[in-house]
Amino acid sequence: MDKTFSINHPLLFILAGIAVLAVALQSVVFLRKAWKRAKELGFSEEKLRKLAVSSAVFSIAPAIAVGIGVITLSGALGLPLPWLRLSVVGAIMYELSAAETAASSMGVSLSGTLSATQFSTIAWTMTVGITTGLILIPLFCEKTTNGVSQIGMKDKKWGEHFTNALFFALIATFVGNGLADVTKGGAGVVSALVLLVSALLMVLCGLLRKKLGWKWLNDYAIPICMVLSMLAAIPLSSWIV
Amino acid sequence: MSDYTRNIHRSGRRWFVFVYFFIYLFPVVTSAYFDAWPTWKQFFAAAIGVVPIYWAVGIVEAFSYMPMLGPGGSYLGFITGNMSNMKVPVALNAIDSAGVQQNTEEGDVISTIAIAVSSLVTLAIIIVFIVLMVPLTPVFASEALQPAFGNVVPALFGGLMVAFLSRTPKVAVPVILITAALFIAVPALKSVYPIVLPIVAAAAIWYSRMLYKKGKI
Repeated sequence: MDKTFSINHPLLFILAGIAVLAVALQSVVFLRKAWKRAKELGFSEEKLRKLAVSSAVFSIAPAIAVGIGVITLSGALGLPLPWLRLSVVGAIMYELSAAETAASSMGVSLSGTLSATQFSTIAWTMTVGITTGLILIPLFCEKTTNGVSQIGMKDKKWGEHFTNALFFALIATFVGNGLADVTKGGAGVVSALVLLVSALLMVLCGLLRKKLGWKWLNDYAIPICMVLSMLAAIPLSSWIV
Repeated sequence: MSDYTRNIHRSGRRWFVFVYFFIYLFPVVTSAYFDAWPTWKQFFAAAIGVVPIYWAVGIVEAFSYMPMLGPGGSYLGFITGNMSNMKVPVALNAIDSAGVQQNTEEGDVISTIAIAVSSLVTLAIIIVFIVLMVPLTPVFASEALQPAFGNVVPALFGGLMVAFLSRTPKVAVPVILITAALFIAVPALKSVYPIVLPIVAAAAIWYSRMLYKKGKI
């Protein structure tokens, strides 16, 4: 193999490909284990299939956003590194800023051409940056999740309220996040309106489900709200920004 | 703990070690093969701007999301990444539409299935993007579609908020309203939202406990 460095060198594709394959394999293994256990717990095959299809549909729009992230980063970092970083552990919100911060520390811009050492420094920084989760989950997952399920075992009703409180906190934080820039105008107002449109569409889905008996909406309501409110962002943006 | 849960913990830990190895293989082999090891000085200069914040966020996210996703969902979700913009919402949606509780084994298998399917779909879509980069880039990365893909998170959480409001509105409504007001009053919180999350969670649990003890929920 050619030893001349290139951000799209075949070796880099092989390295990223192996890691992505490992993660795909883990997903398949966990899917099979959970599927088998779900059937033992009394879920019907049909219900599980519906759940899988709705989760797949749900994931398409956010996955396209991740795909765009890979393309955005590929100009400076090539395809293999963003492919790896956005398929394994990474997140679209973090990786771009991690790469930019690392590049600017070396006085280079991501819009320029990187040398092999500059590229490897960025790769090291991005990799070390995501290490905490990788250490903490195997060390503390058992204790943490056992603790939560014991709350539920001691007092089932309080256990439900406890996890619901966690969900409300998560939702509240992201709703707050979407509304944070509303007073700044422009894109901040668009984000707030997208949130509102998505919420209103969900109310509409609930009404349709009740009044017209459209039970299938139960599985697809969130993906529908998500895609339609994302589409609404296009005209909203051209009017407001 | 059931045999299934015990098995998930054991196999989850093994997979972490396995994937950890491959994640580090990339910078190690790249540096060795191209003789491009960064000097310690270069590495620290770059890492100092990234690592403290990312590690703080990583610690907070790990402890915030583990109780929500359960063992199977956590081992898989953290490895496959894109937690808040995909894996956590997809698990929440599945838990809600299946009508199960998260702190049970039923909740865990459902969130594991949702996250596994979601990661496979994501991996496939990323590969499609890489293979079809030339024809796809002008379409999806076009200026016209930027507002749509820049707003995935609010588009997700608007609907999820309504779906979860009905669970315990007496807790959900004040928690969401107060948090939203806080973010609007101090927009800078947006950049540290992972740190805000556990504080909101502690407040929500405390408030929920208070109402529960008084028999109001």
